[in-house]
Amino acid sequence: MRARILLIAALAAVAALLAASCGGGGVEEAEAPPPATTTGGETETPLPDTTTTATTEQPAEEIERGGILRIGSTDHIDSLNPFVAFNAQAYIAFVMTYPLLVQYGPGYVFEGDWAESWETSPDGLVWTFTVKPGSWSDGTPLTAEDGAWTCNTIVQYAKGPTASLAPFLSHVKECSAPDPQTLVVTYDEPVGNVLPQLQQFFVLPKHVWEQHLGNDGKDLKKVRPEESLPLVAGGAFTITKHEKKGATIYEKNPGFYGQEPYVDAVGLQIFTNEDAMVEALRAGDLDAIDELPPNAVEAFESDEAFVVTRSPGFQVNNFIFNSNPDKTKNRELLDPKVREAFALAIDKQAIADTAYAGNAKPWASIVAEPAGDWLNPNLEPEPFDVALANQILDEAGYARGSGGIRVDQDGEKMSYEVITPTGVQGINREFEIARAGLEQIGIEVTQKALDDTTAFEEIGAPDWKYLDFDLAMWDWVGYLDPDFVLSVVKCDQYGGWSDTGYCNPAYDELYAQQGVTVDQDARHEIVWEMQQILYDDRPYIQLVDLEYITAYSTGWDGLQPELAGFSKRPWTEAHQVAS
Amino acid sequence: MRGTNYVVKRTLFALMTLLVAVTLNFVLFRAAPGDPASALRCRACTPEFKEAQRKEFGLDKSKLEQYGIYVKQLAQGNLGSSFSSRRPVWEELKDPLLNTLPMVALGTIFSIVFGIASGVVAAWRRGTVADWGNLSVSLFFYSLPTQWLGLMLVIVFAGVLPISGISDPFLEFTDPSWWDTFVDRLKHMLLPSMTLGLVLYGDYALVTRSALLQTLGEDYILTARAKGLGAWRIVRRHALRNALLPISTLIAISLGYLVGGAILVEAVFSYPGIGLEVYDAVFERDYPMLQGAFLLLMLSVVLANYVADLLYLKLDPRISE
Amino acid sequence: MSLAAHPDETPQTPVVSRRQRTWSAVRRQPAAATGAVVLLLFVLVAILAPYVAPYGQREKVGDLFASPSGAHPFGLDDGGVDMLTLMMHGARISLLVGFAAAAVAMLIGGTVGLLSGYFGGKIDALLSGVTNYMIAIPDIPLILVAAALFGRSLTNIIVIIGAIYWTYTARIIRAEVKSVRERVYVQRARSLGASNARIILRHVLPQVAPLLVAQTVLFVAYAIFAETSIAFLGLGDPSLISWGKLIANAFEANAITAGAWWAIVPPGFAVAFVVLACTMLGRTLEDALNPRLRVGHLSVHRFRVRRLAAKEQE
Repeated sequence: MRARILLIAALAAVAALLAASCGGGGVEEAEAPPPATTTGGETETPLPDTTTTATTEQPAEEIERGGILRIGSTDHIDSLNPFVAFNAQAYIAFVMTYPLLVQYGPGYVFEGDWAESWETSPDGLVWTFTVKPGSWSDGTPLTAEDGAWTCNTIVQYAKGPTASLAPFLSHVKECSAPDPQTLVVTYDEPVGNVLPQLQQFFVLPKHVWEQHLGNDGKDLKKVRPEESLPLVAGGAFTITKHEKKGATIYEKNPGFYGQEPYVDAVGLQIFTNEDAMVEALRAGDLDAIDELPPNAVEAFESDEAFVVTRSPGFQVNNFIFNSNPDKTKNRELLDPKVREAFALAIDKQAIADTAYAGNAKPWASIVAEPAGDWLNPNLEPEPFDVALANQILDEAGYARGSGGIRVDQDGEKMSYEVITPTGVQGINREFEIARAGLEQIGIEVTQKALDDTTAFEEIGAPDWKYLDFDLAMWDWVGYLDPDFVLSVVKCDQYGGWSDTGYCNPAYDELYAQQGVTVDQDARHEIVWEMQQILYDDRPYIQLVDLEYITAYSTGWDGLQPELAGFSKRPWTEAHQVAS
Repeated sequence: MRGTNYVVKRTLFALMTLLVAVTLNFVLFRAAPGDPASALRCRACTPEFKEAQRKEFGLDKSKLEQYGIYVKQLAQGNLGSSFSSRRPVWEELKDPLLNTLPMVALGTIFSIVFGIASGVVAAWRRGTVADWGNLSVSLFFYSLPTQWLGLMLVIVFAGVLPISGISDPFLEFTDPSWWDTFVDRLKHMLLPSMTLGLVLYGDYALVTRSALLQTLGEDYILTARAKGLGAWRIVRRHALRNALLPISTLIAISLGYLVGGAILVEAVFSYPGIGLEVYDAVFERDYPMLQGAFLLLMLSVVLANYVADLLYLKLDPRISE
Repeated sequence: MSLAAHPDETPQTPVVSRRQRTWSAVRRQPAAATGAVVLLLFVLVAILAPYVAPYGQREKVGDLFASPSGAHPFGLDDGGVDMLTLMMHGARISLLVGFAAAAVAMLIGGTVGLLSGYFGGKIDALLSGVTNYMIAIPDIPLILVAAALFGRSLTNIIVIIGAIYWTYTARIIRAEVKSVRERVYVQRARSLGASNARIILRHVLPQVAPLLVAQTVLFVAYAIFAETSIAFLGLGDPSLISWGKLIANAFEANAITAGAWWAIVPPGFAVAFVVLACTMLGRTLEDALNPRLRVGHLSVHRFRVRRLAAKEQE
């Protein structure tokens, strides 16, 4: 989900920070690079710890080439069109199949993916990347021209069809390719997090996509790569088979510019039922699952045949208020007092304990725990206090009506529908806890369960004007750098990433500012202030931060689940171990 | 001739039912609350797609004209386009339908086998514990919620048989033979079919038992037994023949309903059949898909009943109308 | 099917003898008696649940999916709530839906059958037509769509279930009414100038009522099945606990992976017992009141399989 994207963005951001202060120079793909320090002398953001219940072996020994890595997931790829997709699984697919200038390496240190090395001009405005030679999976040579074309196209239509990818090229003026191995990115202002942003900049094949620029770029969103497989890919893998609710097969791209993957193919099997997925792993029909359901954690941790990995979670679940100031119905939900009461009536600890079996913690910010210093430490999750919530509503004039349900100023029952996407694990329990709490303060809510794509569209209805819906529940997956997750509530994200209809020009200004603040201390301040604004305005009630738990069989190694979505390494370095 | 009269009557009835089903389908999906016309609710669609839908289905015209267009399109085999995938509904429903049919057929085979076995034992040993026991067990299974029984089978057979999907998506990488693929498909079909079989065999058991009871009491049977003919031969030769008619009609009718009724089993086993398609379409608010799927399901019911009626004619010459 | 199968029908006291026949049938058949007792037990538990249940139905009393123990004979569910409590509260909703939906089906079906059988002719043709054609619609998908379109409240679910299954009752009542209509006293009443409404209500309905009741009892079984299906497919009323919802919750919360069979088994058995009880009771009543149906095979009241044209009824 968008969460993963945020995760990727966060890591990208951190890497950017690290790289920004270095001012250029490529980082070799080292086995275990020492953490780079910023020249500013300040402490870097603490890197997330990853604990595994088995040691990771050095790839040098016992590597078995070949085979297919079979991964199970309940998160499906919603679209293979990068301008349309928003699911994390889709973004993982893009990371694997398209060239990225940079990626995260072990220890969350930036390294080149497609880029061999890079330099920054003294004024920080021009970044020059030397890119590796390679070819697309259909044989066409991969050159810097593809990078320049993709970049310029995204920039050109950033307000429209390419809005969802625009945050990864913010402040880019233009790109150019003076020669096939050189890509020049020119910014209009010095940006503090270039590399984290570029880590999500997918380079698309110009010769395939340039025909779809019609209709002022809108045709880009109509492209359906699913219908012309195998995908023309420039990354480590191409997609040869794709069934949205079934399996997706990724096969090695012979023209890949990087280290050839150890496996022949990676298979992603989508399950609608978690029990079946867990059972498949147990039975050996799968090699790995990308998200272990909370109720299965204990069983797998005590099983020697499997490795269970836990990392601090980048996913933060939330409760969404339609914050479009122009919304037409139920405007009482725009009242800060009402929102405060809601926040006090939803028991976050219960959600953490019951919906996620304790593998989560109550949360207060849209920024997730692993972001470290970027997280505003002064924000506290609202306590569960029904009495106070009732008091607030009573004093605000929302009297109780028939059946104990409160009525608003117009005498209408405070009874609302909450849109919930079926793709979020544990959402039904979460909703139930919220509903029960809200019932105690005289608010009635009913669940409207829709599949992910439909839910997102229902939120944006009509036509991405955010006028119809009242409430929803979803999540965001953050990154190490907060840039991306803070960008989703901008005014220009209507029809892009916005799921709240929130639009606050003051906030947008701060966002623009932090994007070009190179001094880390100053940037921290701005980022903290932005989180405070969101906390006060409350377009979201942040609920819980989930721990990221995966499992895989001990017959495999090199999977590095903590790098999923941030790097091609998890799939290029995955290999079977001789048993 | 009586027979022809009957056939004509049943054919007319089937056609009429079909027409009504088609009309009901049209009405149902235009009757969604707060919704003038289904296509306009299509949030996933680009304005161009919506416009094309409007033109194709004449949504700006009167209801009667719309109905006419609807029927004409059906006759041409055009079921509309899915809102989520933009592909023609028939294309999307083809494969799931083909997935459900063999599973349901296998399930029916299980029902018949369990049912006949149970019914024969019960009838042969009428009045004893075997009779009462068999009836109770079959009735008990019949009373269990289908999805629950499916879950029980999952608990028992997890690890032994696949509990989800229609096939192993990674099988192709092991270079399988035709046989391997077939066995893989069969293994995936086994648990869902068995669930259906267990839950429905009670019908067949009862039918077999009463059919047998009717015949077993007859004189020529007693004579055969006195002559020393083996029990199974007697049952097979004479008694079961009596059961043939009710069993056949039961099969025909069941198949018609099972196609839609397998939705519970498909949900438990994530079996991508037409039931699961309907289920997904509900959560995706994909009205053309729902409409198309409904039509297919009603069609299968009408068809199945029609076949049952014809079977009745063939197997029971005593039909008099 | 001839009308000659009612030897003990006397015009003077038809109602009493029918009631007597029903009651003695139940008494004589142990299966029916057991069914009645079981049903009664469940209904009692359902009614008394709020007072008798050991814990709160939303009260977390221990670990998630804790196994059965002395304090919790059925263990705990995925929210740490006592399963026994949930089963009791679940009985309320499941049985409520069962009886209410059956009542709706009885009302609609009974009315249609009455009018259809009594008036015959065009009305009969129309109503029979509707009845026959409604049977072609696949039930579960229709319930799904209706629940998705019209909302998932308890009332909606009850009405939807009732509105789909009334066709069985209508058929049987129609046939029964047709036979009753010919009886002597009814003819006499008509010749005396009684209005149609009076005849229907005073003479026909009492004759048909016991059969209607029998059908309704059978329907409770259908309705409970339908409710468990709806709940399982995620379209039940989300704020209410029913047996069907318990099965659905266990499925979603990965009870199988957690090894928590106690979260799945009890609701299934409960449904089976109630359904069995209703079936046995209902069938016995039906057999006693309507010998023509005692055919044994292809009984129209097979709940999962319905015939478009019931030969026995025409």
